Amino acid sequence: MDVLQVVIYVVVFAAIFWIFFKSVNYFEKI
Amino acid sequence: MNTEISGVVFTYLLTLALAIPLGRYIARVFKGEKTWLDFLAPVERFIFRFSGIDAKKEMNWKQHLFALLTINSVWLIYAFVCLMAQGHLPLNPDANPGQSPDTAFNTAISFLVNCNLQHYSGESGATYFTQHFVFMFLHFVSAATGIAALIVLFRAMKDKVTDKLCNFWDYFVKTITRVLLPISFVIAVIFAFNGMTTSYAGKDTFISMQGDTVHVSRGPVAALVAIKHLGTNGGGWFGANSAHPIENPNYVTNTTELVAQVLIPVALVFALGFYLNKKKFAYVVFGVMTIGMLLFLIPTMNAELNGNPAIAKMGVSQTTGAMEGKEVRFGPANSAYWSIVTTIISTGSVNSMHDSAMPMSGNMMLLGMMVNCFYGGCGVGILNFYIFIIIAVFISGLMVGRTPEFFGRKIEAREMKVASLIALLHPFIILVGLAISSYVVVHMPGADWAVKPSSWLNNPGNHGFSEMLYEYTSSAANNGSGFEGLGDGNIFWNVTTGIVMILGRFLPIIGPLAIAGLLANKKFIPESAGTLKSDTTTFGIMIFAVIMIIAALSFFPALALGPIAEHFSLK
Repeated sequence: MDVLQVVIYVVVFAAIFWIFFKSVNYFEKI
Repeated sequence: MNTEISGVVFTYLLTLALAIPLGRYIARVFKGEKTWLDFLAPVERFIFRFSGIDAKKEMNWKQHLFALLTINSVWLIYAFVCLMAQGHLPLNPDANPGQSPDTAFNTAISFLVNCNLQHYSGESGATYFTQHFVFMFLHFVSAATGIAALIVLFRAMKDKVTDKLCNFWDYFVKTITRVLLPISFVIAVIFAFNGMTTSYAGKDTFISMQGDTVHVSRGPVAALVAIKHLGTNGGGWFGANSAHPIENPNYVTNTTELVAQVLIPVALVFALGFYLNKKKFAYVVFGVMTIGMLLFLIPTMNAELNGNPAIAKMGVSQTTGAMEGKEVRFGPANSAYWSIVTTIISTGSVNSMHDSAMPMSGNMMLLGMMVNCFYGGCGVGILNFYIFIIIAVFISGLMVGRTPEFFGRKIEAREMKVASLIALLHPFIILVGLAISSYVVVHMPGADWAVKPSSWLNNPGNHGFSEMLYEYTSSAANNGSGFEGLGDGNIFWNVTTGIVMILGRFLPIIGPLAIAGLLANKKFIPESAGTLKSDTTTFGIMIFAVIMIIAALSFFPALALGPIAEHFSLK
């Protein structure tokens, strides 16, 4: 259960930082 | 009573007296002028060579942001892993266990984003290893991240620059070596000589006067508390934060902690003027921020010094003011000043329990975090303020029928779209979080979770609502203080506040830098008779009005249901 939780949280981290990197490009072209 | 107020005035004036020369010094450091800490240059060169960084390479705004985001994502994973594994790592004399994944998720984000919301108690939820190499490390680098981002903004606001905005790593490393480390060292020495522990031994034991055996946690506290305040972090060594007698033993340490947390945010406002050679503009910004602070501080001190009307009705004398939740050695005036500066500046440390403050004081603390730009956190306070400047310039331009210009650049639709998105993000993430948690409390009180939603709130009604509002506001503002009374050590609160914290940190850094970078690339238009003057009182009033309308009024319905309703229920 803990391992699954850890994997989920790492995926959440990755998703959030993906949004941040994308937002840099988005703000340039908005 | 007068002595208490004099103490507050003295503390603020001392901060100001130190902040002005520090602001001049910071401007000199980042303009590349000579300073008395230039002897550290070889250390910086060694760090760059060791890391394979060319610190002379010019970056545009996007490259700055990519560097900032990349290194922050690495620190996040590092902190997350260390916190879960801390039970197996060295420097753990009290044999504290590793954090659960959800607590580590919340804590890692919390310290990465300079928030320091603590859903654990330092005595049992952390080890000396994580206090040092995760929390203290992140105290330095998160503050340096904010300041480095602000220096990019300063650079972009200069006349006639294009997309060459110097180097992120150069700004970041110099912030640590030239600003944070030297000042932290001085503050830590003051603390160490005033009774803060600096021991690596585990818990001490003594027999109390009632005959109980008491275990007292300790550790190398002085070093951490110095950067905790200087970097506007706020995450304490102990659960009770700076209300703990070892983390804040006396009035000298209390004053030092107060000065330390306000010092850099105020200094950066003056640094803005010195860096851009626009001192009058910096005075306007400083004036707006200071008036905002006083508008929150005066009602808070008044409420705390006058005591609780519900207690007065019972015929109990309150000559010392409202003392519930306060340390006798600090008193209500000093605690009120701390609670306001710690909320407007995003430090989030406490020397009294905010949950026990009068409802009007709680309202002002919430407003401080909702506005989040009256001085604000290290670097990010002015970044937030910049968003309101852009909106104020745009509205002013529309009012007089001219194309809005700010520092020689036209503000057009693209900049306004970014500014609007960032300005609305703050209320959005707070109110959505609050709506979800309120729904769960009301409609799912008996849900079969580890901690049932019906057990989250120790206080029902308006006060319980304020506790939830405070938790999300503190998270979004990257403040980290807690109203307490809220059962937040469970998956729901760890995950939701974790997401709110990280969104509330990086998007408000990305937005202002994007605007500044886009503006820097535009053609420079010299000032003319029709240019809106940005260094006048009128412009200051305009910014203040924009802040109040956008930031404060967005939250008015929520405040009315929480602290305002509670205030009137006491009458």
